[in-house]
Amino acid sequence: MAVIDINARFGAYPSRHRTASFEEVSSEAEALGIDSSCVCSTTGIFFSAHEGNLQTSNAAASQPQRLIPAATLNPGMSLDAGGAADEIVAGPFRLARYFPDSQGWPIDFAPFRQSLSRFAERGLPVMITASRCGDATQLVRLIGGLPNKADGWHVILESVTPHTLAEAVAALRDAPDLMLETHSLRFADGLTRISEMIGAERLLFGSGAAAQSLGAALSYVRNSSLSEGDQAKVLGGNAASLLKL
Amino acid sequence: MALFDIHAYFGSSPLFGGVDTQEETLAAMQRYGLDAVALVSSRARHSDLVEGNHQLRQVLDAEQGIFGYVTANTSYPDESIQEMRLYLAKHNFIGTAIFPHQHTPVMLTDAREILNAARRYTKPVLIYADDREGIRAIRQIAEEFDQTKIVILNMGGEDWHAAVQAAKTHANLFLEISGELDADKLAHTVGSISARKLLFGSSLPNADPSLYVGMINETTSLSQGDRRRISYQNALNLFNIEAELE
Repeated sequence: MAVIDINARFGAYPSRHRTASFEEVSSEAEALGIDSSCVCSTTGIFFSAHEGNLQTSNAAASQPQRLIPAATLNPGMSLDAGGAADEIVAGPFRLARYFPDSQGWPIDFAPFRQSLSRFAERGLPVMITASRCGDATQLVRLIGGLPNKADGWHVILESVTPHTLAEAVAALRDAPDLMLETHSLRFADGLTRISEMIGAERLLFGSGAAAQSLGAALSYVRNSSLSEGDQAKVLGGNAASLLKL
Repeated sequence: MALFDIHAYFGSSPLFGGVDTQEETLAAMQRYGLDAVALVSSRARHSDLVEGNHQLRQVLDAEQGIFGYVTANTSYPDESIQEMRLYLAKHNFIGTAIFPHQHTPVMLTDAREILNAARRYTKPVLIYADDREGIRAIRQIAEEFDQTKIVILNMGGEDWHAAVQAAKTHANLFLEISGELDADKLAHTVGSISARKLLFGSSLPNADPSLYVGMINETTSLSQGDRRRISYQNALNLFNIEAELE
């Protein structure tokens, strides 16, 4: 089973002091046995989504076997967030990503809802940071109210911290559309406990690389008490299905 | 690779689980491949200082590699000093741990009495730091108590660069590596200060030790000697406990 990192980024990362090119991200992943990485450009997170998405699609085109392109969208910096979502859907992207905490916008936010509903209709999976208390709860409410969701459409929560873990698990139990990325879970053998509550098929391996340690994220899954079959699902099987690889 | 986790907790939490008995502690050590562990009482840290330290005492066993810290609390200086008097002469207790309150760092003015009392036991003091404010406060402590060996727990969280700078400046400061899992954290730290000042810790069960093992293994710039020192040997030297483990 291929190992897929659903959460990798390349480019400058001002607050974490580490800049990594997509080539570096790719080669570091390869050295640790990662078959492919779903990447986005940090330019898209911190500066310009349009420019970042162009960088991402170029990077993925240059290493199609190793890099899977993820688009970013900043609804607070777009006068037509629905149109921006349509552009992303028309591009090569397998995933759309939102960063409400670092971009400073709330979940209850009209441009976010407009763009999210486009992704839901077209079936492009979405990943969103859920590091603030209340975000996962609002997201459940928002997703529940979206019309015309495509079959099998999912939203992945990432950057779930100890402060938002209980809320995230409750949200996952409430909303079958939600999945959970692993890199910030951290607590001892947490994957096994969470898997018992929501099922291993809803967990996706991610690292937060290049800023965050890929070795740590991988070690957390590989050293968990999950069965070999469940580890395979988390490490790549679930992502392969979700991203239609 | 032998592992001494110098930052782990005794007493389970509803969210993260954990250990409540010596048997469970030994099972956790086996599960995570830990040869030795030094425990803080969760109850002493978050609630009842005296009861927590008392419960911790029951499970410590140097021969099995289970060590512990007396938790001191800057809001209870007299009780803390009494706790230190009760436990620090025992070889199973290898230091004093002090924690901030609700994002208020451990300040020199609040901790001075406790730190003065700690001097007579010549055992390290461990101070938890969430951020650069915590590191700044520890620098003041390290300057005034320059003969006391001080370990920064959690390395200042996201502000670990500040912790590295502090350890570079103050000879008596050491860093426990838990906290952020930034990819360049260990490489940068060992490039700035000696690997002899780093100690393996995880904050088990709040974090899984395998995360930090993965981070060490990933850092290709560490020599085998550096890995051995960080994972195990530095703790034996700092806490002067080689004899117990042998």
